[in-house]
Amino acid sequence: MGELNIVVPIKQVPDVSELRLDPVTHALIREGVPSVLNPYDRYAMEAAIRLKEQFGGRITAITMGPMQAKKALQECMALGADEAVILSDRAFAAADTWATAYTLSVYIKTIPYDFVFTGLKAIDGETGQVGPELAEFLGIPHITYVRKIEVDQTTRSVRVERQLENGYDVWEAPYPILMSIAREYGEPRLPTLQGYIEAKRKQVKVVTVADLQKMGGDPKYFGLKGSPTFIPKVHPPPARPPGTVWEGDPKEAVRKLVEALSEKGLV
Amino acid sequence: MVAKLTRKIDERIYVNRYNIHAKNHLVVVQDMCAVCKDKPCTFSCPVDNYVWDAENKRLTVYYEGCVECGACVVVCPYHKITLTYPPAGRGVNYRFG
Amino acid sequence: MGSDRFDVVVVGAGPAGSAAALTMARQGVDVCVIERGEYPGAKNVFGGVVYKWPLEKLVPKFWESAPLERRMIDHRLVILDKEAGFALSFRDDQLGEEARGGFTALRSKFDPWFAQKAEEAGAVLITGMPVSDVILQDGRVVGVRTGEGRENEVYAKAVVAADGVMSTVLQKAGIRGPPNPDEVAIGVKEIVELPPETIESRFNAKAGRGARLEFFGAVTKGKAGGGFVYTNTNTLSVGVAVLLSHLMELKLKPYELLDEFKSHPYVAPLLEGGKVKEYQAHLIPEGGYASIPPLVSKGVLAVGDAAMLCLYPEGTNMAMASGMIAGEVLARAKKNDDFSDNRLSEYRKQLEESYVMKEHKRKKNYGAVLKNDKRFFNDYPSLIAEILRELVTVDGVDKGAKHSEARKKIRERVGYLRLLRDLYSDVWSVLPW
Repeated sequence: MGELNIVVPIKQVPDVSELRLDPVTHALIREGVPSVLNPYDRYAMEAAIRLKEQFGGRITAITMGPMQAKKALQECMALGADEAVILSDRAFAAADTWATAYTLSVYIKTIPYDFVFTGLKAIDGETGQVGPELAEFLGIPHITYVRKIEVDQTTRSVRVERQLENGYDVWEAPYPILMSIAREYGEPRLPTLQGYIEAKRKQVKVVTVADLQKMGGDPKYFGLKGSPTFIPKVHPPPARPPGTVWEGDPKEAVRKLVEALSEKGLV
Repeated sequence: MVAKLTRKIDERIYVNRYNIHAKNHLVVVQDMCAVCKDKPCTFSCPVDNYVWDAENKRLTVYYEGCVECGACVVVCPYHKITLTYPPAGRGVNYRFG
Repeated sequence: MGSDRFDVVVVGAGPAGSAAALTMARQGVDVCVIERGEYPGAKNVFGGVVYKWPLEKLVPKFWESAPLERRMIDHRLVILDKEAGFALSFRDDQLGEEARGGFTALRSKFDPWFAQKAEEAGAVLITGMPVSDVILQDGRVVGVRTGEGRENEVYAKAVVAADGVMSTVLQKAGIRGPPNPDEVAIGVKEIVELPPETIESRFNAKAGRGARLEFFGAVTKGKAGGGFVYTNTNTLSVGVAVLLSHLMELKLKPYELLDEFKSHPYVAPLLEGGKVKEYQAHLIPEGGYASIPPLVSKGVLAVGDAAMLCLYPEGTNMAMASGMIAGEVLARAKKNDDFSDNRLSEYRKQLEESYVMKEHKRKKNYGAVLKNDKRFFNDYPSLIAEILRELVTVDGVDKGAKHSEARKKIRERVGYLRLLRDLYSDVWSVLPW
């Protein structure tokens, strides 16, 4: 029975409620948009904290991104991460999901881990690819949409519930394993005042491209040049046609509504 | 031009950035509302959080657009309104200020 | 020191709190600042001007690094009646060169910058945490809490209440209650976006320079308050403030006053074509000297708006100056290892000798004038407009006759004695200059 080592890769994302498309170029306007910890990653942190509470252990939060992303890591430390690592280098910039997963895997391979918990996806890219790709690079199994975790340390295995649209699967798997945590896992907690103060007194470990190369990383797989996919253009969704409002007497309005719906064959 | 610059409260709030908390942070003990003559909360609030429902004799309290100014607390003649600031940076977050 | 114990906890990372924290951290005081906004400034609103004094004392040549908007070179006072406006304008490019006229700023940019200065000096800054209560021991505040449980408590030898006009700290400590409706104004403000070149041509200013316009009179329908238009880089700050007790008499919504102000013939052309980017509201301390609560009590030092230190339109400088003085006193308290109220009351003494209290004392009528006097906000503005409208109209009636008509109006409507008295005393309380 030992303590568990848990790695939580996180992302700092622009607050999407603030995102606007440039009306001319259709590019995302990121200027002046505040950055936050990806909301889905809070569930991954929550799962890590609960496991740590149950078995003891060590949580490492890790991200790849510009130095401003330290703020999101600090929030993870306030929540209970023991260590925080940022992979930050110009060489990592403009990476797609594949290059991101590869870069993260280079570092994670150098530390002991039993579990890797991720959010379902990031609210900016919405791909949900980095988690599974990271599992492949690490050479470990992965289960997505996990809503419940039972750990058996004697057999080094887990029994998990996987959220489906109309129910759930039960899976058993050995660990080390990567899991993405569903909302149904449970409401993530908020950091405490003490947590924040302690986090402010901890350091975030900065890892550069040179460090990763020493760890065996191949620089041709980093950043833009390591990215097999690219986004040629972003389109705004087509404008929705305006709705119809029937005003006046409720009975009459409902009658008109039913009429309109049956015309379209909807009722 | 004037008409364009003059906007209803919904349009005003729409431009602001909110991170809405799941719980209403405005608590009103409504035992005096029916006898309260002017109901100053219903016009002092800069975002129209307080609407008097004359039919049911109760105050409807919205909070999503609250800018946490405290005017309601100050004007309530019976000191029945409590504003507890929303946690974790929730509520209004000004981009300009 | 442990993570639950500091020399001083500052509640609020606005201009007052950050000034206090910066002053202390530089002198080796272990200080923690707790801010409820997601970032400093997230919950803050002001009219728009940061002054050279006293910020320059804390951050020399701050204008070279601080996120500021425009240097104010045109200070305009406009008296409005329903349709007309009578303006006094002082324009001086030198104000810009020497950075004397103040700077417009936006709080969501300025406050984080200022708080970061405190952080760089060694203060621990926590954001997104509202202080919900104080921890009292033997009648003294020994810490604050941000929620349930031990892990949401922090202890300190003294607490600085920099948490604004509705100060939770002062209220929970029983030092003061919420302000009365006649002690605060409600201010509503919009950020209106315009291209910088449009702003520069409308306000007759060069790039990086701008104007601040203060309006009195019809803006608030004869009630105490006023309006303002300040020029930022590519936005205007447009707002109205009215004493809350007077708003209760008017039975109008604050934004209805703002809409009327924005559509006033003097104001509307300045805003034309602008796009509203944000709508804000905040309470402004307007009670003057009489409404200042105990500044040192139970181990708590009140600064800035929490201490009701604000004289329209000067709030940020009062806040920073009081924070700075409180910080100095607390740094000395640490050196002498004496945080007793007796020692800390030095704060009150030093504040009394400073610009902050001298101004509040000089304008001690301020609160009373605002409360009662409709002459300044109604009678004079309409009289001025009526008289000037006649005087500038050339219609064959000789100026001599027009002047005596004007004198008659003044005599009948106000009386010379009262006019002289107002000019001699109260007008200096109302004027922003």
